[in-house]
Amino acid sequence: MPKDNIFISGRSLLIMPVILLVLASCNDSNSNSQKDEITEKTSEMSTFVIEREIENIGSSTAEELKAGSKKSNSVIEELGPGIQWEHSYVVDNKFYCVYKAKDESLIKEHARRVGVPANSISRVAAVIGPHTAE
Amino acid sequence: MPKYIIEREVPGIHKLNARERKAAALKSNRALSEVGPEIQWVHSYIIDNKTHCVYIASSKELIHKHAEKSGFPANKIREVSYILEPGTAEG
Repeated sequence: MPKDNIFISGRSLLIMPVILLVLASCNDSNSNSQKDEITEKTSEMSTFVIEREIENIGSSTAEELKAGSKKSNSVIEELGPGIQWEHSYVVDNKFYCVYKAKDESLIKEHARRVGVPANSISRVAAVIGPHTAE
Repeated sequence: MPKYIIEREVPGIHKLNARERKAAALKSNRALSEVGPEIQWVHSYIIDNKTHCVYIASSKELIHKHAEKSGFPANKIREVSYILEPGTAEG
């Protein structure tokens, strides 16, 4: 059976009404749904900084980096909406990449499929800038 | 002016609340205005015990000067060669 059809199995169809019922009753007793929605969204996707150590990456040509970006984009598409690439800073021997992802495992899997290292993966607690002082 | 990534090791920085982050940003802004117009703070990612900061500056010396005045260490300073994003693949 193709992977996409797994949710339409007979068993899932039987369970579905029960899940919907439970969700509906949770919603009824929830007096602060807006707050919960925000919490849910934040817990779904976190921002991560990923360091990839690659010798002399800063000396790459624009064409090489374009090819690498293309490969990364195609793997992100394969992995689905749980992982998004924001941007990457290239320095002499390293990439500092900013990603949004549901969890670290998707970042590791992306790195494995693209064929690049993920030497450190750090969850971002906050993003601040000059405006934070205002 | 070149862009830089600065790694600052600051124990406990990820535990700051919004008010404390505001105070830290204010301290950094004050040091920036003392160092002059040839250094600009773009933004910073706070991770466990560390920040990764993006700055625009005419030299690394100004980044060191800002670190001294603000009290936030600049443990590593790296010049950015390129910035990539999903659109880079199409350009």
